[in-house]
Amino acid sequence: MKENKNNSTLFDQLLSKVPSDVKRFVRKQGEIAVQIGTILKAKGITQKELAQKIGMKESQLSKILAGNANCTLKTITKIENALNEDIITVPIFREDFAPDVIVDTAAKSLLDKKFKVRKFSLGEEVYVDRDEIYAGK
Amino acid sequence: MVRIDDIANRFGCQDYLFKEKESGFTDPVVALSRENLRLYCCRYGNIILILGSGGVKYTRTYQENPGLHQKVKIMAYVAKRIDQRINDKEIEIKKQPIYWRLKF
Repeated sequence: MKENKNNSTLFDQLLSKVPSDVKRFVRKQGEIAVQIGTILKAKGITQKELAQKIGMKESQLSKILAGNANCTLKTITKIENALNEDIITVPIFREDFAPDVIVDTAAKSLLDKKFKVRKFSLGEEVYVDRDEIYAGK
Repeated sequence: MVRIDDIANRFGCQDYLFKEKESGFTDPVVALSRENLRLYCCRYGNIILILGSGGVKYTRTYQENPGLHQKVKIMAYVAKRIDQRINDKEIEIKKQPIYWRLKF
């Protein structure tokens, strides 16, 4: 790629011109697509099967998986319900609430059926079984 | 731009992010699409993506659009030459590093 004297490529320069809200939107679309795609592969479910399960046209689901759809929350929750997995999670923050645990789900953890747990205050990473979390341990 | 950046740095070249079999053959030519924009690429697994060219797809199929058709044909040619060189062992695809001779 063509580079300028500041060592940023032409690609980087063009990328920096993309408005931040557009970047965020396109990124979220991609993340949702990859999350669904990863779950489908992990569970051995085809796009066709998922589309049939949620009563959606295959072409419409394909658009979601290509990261090109502006999904409604209703559609996302329909997919979550069909897959029995979260596609998106919303962190809940209150002024007076300082969580000491943040739970992430990553593609790998879906296969292991475990959650990656990060201690909020210490920044320490440990792996904890999902059932232990629900048991309040 | 953002999608290409995410593919390169975060997601990898996941198959469902692309429109596949764009040139109609069983070759690695795929299309990155955004509404009616198309960017034709060669995809090798989830790790290698060679970006080509593209344009606006006004017609139902790319074959009906001479400009796009030409760009798909170019990528099909690139894919064919890469396959030949892989068969001839001039190109090896390994996880790290990658050895390429891409001058055609």
